[in-house]
Amino acid sequence: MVEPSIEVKIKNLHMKSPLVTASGTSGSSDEMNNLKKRDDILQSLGAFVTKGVTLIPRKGNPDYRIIETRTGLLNSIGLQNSGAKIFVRKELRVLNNLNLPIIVNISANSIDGFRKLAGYLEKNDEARIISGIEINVSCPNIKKGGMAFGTEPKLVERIVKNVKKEVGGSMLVITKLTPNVADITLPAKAAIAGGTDALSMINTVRGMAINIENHEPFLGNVHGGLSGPAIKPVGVFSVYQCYRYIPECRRKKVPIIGIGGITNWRDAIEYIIAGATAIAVGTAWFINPSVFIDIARGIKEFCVKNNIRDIKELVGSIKMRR
Amino acid sequence: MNQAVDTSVEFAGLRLANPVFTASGTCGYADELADFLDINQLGGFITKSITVKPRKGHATPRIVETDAGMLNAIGLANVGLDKFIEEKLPILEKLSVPVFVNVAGETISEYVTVAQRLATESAIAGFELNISCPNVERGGITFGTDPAQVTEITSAVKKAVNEKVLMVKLSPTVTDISVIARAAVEAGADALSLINTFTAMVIDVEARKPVLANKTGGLSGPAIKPIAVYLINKVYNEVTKDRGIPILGMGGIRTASDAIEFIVAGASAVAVGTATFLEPGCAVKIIEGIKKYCARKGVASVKELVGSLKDW
Repeated sequence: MVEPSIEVKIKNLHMKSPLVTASGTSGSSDEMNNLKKRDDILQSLGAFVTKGVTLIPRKGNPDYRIIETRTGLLNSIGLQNSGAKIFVRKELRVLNNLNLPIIVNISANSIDGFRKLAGYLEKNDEARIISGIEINVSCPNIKKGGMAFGTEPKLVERIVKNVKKEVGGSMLVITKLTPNVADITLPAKAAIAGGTDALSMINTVRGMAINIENHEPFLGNVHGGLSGPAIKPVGVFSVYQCYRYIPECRRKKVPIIGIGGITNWRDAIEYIIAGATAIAVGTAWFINPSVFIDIARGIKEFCVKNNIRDIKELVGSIKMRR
Repeated sequence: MNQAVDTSVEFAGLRLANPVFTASGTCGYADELADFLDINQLGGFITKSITVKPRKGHATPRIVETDAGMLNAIGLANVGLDKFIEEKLPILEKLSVPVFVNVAGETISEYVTVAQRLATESAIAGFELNISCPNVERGGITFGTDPAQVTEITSAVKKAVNEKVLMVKLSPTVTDISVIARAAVEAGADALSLINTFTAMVIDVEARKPVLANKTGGLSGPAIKPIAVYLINKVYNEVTKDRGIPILGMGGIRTASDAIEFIVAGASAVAVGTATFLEPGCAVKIIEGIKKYCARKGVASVKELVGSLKDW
């Protein structure tokens, strides 16, 4: 049996694997110096998605910023990052050594802020190596922007349109959606109307944990975003809804990157069958540094066992009749 | 510190011996778990949903486990109003704890019919209006995500329930739960219960099919607990606290610590659901655990804990 192909394409971005890092779970550059030494991990990845970058540096939220829950994790980092200038000058250089397509997750607290940041990255010579931008309109941990944008379809459309106008066709534009809405297909359709090339979903679900000994929230920011296996069935449903009910997704004109609680190859296949072309792994990466290797191997073995020559055959292959 | 802890709470004019209920749909009509759980030890009891006509519910499988959770798509299977009155009400009449009937329907008039017929029954303390079931094509969550419909259905049912307590059960699958909560309270809800389950899906990767016959189902269990705590605290701060409306909190409660977390967040009482499937006596154990916690912390009355989260 020939080795099955797990190569995928998100618009014009070719990836040797459908697996990418979920934004915010792999740091930006310091952490990645170590990753450079792990060719086995790099070989199993299709792209690297950075931590959220903003135009101006951000200190992030007061601690605690992370608390474990049952099969999940609440985080409220608050988009801590060193700002676009340092990102481009320092971090991007390190990332370039990874030999992976780089997707930069961007955040801003105004429509104009998104436009400026996208423009900055587009016009900067050193930023030429960026393959794509992931627009974060779904962060639950900041007061202005983030999720507040992502729950308003009209704002989503305008933000995407503005970013798209700045970057033209030079970079892939992905819009990352929040599950904290009544119907996720509405912001998804709005992002498509704004011209997004792809969608990624789901960002975290807003949650909270209370210390009953002192009656205080565990997190410095009071609430945070829930990730991990706990939310996986919600993520699978969101991907399925968009794939099934949005024609552009169904025709794979706007591919979906599935995210939410993926821990092993079965989870990955579940998302792919629901309609995801690629998938991102986040929380599981904190626990198991070999997770991408394990998932890539598991996907290949699944394909061999089921006589699937190309992973693309699996995308959206869910059978609805019983 | 050997004083007895007062576990009683006020709930929309009712005095509950303690703040622990079983959640609708997880304990039948009080008969199913009688061998394992003494319902009279609870603070209150909520029936499985009742509709005017009997419903068979969805094809099987109706349940699948997930990481720290489960998906269900029962489809409001129930005996229907007539049989409920005839066969189940006599069982409920024997209970000494306040009984809430969970009411569902496809149209507003169906909800009203059920509430009206039961409004004169002395065995019933109140109603839980299910406008958040994610597993039916008509009614359920389609009412609960639209504030205008929440207003309409709540005020229509309110007129039918006489002086009985009207509690409205909210869905977490909304953009801003406070908008829905406000609509329910302003239309006459005496209490709110939250959260119902999340719409979700599990796929069998070998068969490439959804595991549930209904394809999608509602996610419950410890997995969703942090989301429930957040939403309860939000509704408490933004809607119910100033109006004196109590919240019945639910969503993944399995231990006394979980229950206390919900109460500190703003719930006046809590309901235990999925955990009952694993351990039928769970709710009673939780009551004991709350007592121990209060004794250890020098809390004389559970009432002191309600909404006691410190301002940040």
